[in-house]
Amino acid sequence: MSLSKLAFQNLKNMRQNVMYLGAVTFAILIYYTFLAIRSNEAMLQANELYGKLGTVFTGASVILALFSAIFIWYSSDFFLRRRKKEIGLYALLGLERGQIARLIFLETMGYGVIGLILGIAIGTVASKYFVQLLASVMAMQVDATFTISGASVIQTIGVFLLIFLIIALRSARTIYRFTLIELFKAEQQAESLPKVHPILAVLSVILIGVGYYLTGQPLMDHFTIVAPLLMLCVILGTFGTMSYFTIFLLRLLSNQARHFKGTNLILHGQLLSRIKSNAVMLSTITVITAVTLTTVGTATSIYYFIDQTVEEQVPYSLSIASKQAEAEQLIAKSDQKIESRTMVNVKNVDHQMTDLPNPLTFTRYYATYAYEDQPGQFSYVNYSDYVKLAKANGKTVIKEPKQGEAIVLETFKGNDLLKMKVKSPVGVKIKDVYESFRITAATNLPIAQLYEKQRLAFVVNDDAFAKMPEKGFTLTNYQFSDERHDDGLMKQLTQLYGKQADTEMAAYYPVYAMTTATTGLLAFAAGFLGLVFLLATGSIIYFKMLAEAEESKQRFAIIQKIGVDEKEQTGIIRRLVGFVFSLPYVLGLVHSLVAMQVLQKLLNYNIVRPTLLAIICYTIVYLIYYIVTVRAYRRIVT
Amino acid sequence: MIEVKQLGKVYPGKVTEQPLTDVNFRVEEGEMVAVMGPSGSGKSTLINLLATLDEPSWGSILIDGVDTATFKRKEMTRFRRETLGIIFQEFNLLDSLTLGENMLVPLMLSGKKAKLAREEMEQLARRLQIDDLLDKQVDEVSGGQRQRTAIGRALIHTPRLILADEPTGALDFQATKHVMDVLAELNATGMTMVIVTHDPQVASYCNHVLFLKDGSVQTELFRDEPRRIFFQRVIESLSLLGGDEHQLSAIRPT
Repeated sequence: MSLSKLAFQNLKNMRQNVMYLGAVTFAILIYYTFLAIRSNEAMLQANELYGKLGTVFTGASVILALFSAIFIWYSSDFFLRRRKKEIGLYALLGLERGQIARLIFLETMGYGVIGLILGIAIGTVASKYFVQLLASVMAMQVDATFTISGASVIQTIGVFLLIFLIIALRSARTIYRFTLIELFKAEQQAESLPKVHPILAVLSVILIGVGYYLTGQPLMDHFTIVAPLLMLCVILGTFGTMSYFTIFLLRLLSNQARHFKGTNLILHGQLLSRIKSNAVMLSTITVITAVTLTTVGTATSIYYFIDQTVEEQVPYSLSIASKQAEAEQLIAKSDQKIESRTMVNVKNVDHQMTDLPNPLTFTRYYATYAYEDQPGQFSYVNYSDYVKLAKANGKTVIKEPKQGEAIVLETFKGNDLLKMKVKSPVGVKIKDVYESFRITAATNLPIAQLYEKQRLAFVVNDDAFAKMPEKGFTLTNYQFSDERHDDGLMKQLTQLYGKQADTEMAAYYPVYAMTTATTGLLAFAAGFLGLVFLLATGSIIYFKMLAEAEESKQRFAIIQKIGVDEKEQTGIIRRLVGFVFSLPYVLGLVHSLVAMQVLQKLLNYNIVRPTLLAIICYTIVYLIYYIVTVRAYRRIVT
Repeated sequence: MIEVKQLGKVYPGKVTEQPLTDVNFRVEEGEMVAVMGPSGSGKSTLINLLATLDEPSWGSILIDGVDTATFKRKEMTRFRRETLGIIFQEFNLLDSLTLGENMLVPLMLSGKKAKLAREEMEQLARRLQIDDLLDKQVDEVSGGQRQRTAIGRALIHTPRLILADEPTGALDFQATKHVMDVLAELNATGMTMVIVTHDPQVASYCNHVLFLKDGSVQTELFRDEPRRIFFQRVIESLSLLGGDEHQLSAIRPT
């Protein structure tokens, strides 16, 4: 029988290897689906923005490819371990190493080809439904059809053939490295008992602590230094914890009375004998879990708060600074009704930036845009108009600023640093004629969304306002009956203002549509990656535990012989698998909660609910993996 | 103590295996019984049945007059944990634990207090002369030491019945002698033992030998003479049963 025939025969022996094939197919399926979604014609036509956001997808697909490689690496490791004995037998029967290596290579490639065919076929179907889902989170109308994207197929095949080539080479190397007897005794090799390094153990936990502590510090000042340092601390700490602290903990435990209770002795022995080879996997999974939970949590939070974000950025359906009559005519012709109309007098004042106390941060953030393209322009509103606006918006009215005082119309959400600087009694000096204002209060009452263009606005008392020499103008804000819908009014309005559209008008709908599309896409990409990471980490633990089960068969046979009944054995397996699953899960969760707490500060929303949602989903999938792994483990050792 | 009646065991499969057809024998309290026979005669199957690790296809095993087939799952576990101690050929020590911990496992399973258990274990270890090896890993000690640890594990809960499946099968001559001396000493304290072996040397330590062939007991020997003479009788019986002459290699033909 020729080698290729033997390889083919082995391929046909599917039942043994159905899990491996499943893993390979899954990786290919995900990758292809992702590419197919990106290049979906219907989506590209429906929204030009979609094409521009392709970079999000490109970045994600690179991560996916890397991840697939790691994932297939782990599953093939399990696959090869399981077959060590069989390989040893081939060698004993007189096959040369080169021939065996070729055999394994052929098989790996065979699985790759089957996986590619299956993955692309299923991916074609799956991508249709994913496109529909994506369209709905982006608030778009798209008719998704089953299409095969040629470019995606070619890219998938290219990427995965490369991955399989690497894996096949690695398998071949394994075969060359091991002696015959090692292959045969693959299952009996006991790991040497790990040494305890108490100092390293404590050090790694301290490293994580330092990382956590750094998140509590104001990041903005030295973000580029602090952020990588923080990540490095946490990642190093995680690897250290998994490698040293767990051993330390288990050894510590073996001096306790609990250690000797019931089956604990057996459990601890098994855990300790495996911890060394599991440490790298566990820490990798911890880091991935932390990243995934944070990404998904962030994306869900942002998506969850789209409405609120847009509402804050653009509080009115439409704000205009001129041509009021013409604009209202257009509105009357459209299907929108004006529900309310507020007007406010505004004066824009040029400041000599250098005159401002603490001017630097101020100007960097707030002089980005000014009416006449002059930097350093601030807007002023008089107190009477402010009271009118506040009442119309249902906000509490702050008491009138005295001479030399001002209220700033901005709460500096998520920008603690700026908030502190503005709130502190610094003055705003107006030209050389006027005295400076001391800012006494802050409120989130935008006078118009023209100010989404980020110009600071202040309320001063009526006297001070009247004394300002600049010419005032009227801003009109409208609230429409249905601001999330547009029948072409926006286009007409833009045409009306022509070149001045940027400065003279601002509307809710375009911002809303744009934000929904971008955050929807981001949330989708994050969710998709999160799902993949979740499934992949779960599967990696699954495969690793099964490989361990295969190698611990003999131990469990002994355990059964010395009088451990089935119930107790199941208990041991449950706790064994539970330990391996919960370690990266708990540590990853804590990492991401700390990261999310920073996010909460930045966003300044209450992100508990969306975060909780993401965590619950994650937990459920993890639990399912846990149950499946326990069952498979039991099946192998009994 | 043990009474085996018309015991049979069949392993169904494509080729039906029938290692035991009709086995009958009695083991009295305090006896040391050797079960001999050529490979494939069903010795290990018999031990597995006695240890309730396997169920008989027909016939019955009475332990203290109670049929093991009537044991409920809990009684079975209790029987294995309290009455029974098993010694295996390949030691079956958990390589993830130290020797001391291995010996402790049965006590822990029955829920004994850790401190008390440790004391008992150390005492037993002194008797088996492995008390200075207790913190060693399994792969750091010799075969004889491993087997003595395994015996220690089988004895730690002071069982009334010891079942041993080729306890010296993996040991050299010196270690065999040592292990058998320990077992004989224990038997002298009144512990009942059933030892499966193909080594006449081992059988000569016993006071009752069963010869198993073709699924049933062919001959039984009872010892009432010094060990050296009993050894000769065992060998004679073996050669009478045939097919086992090669085991006589210890004797130079005259």
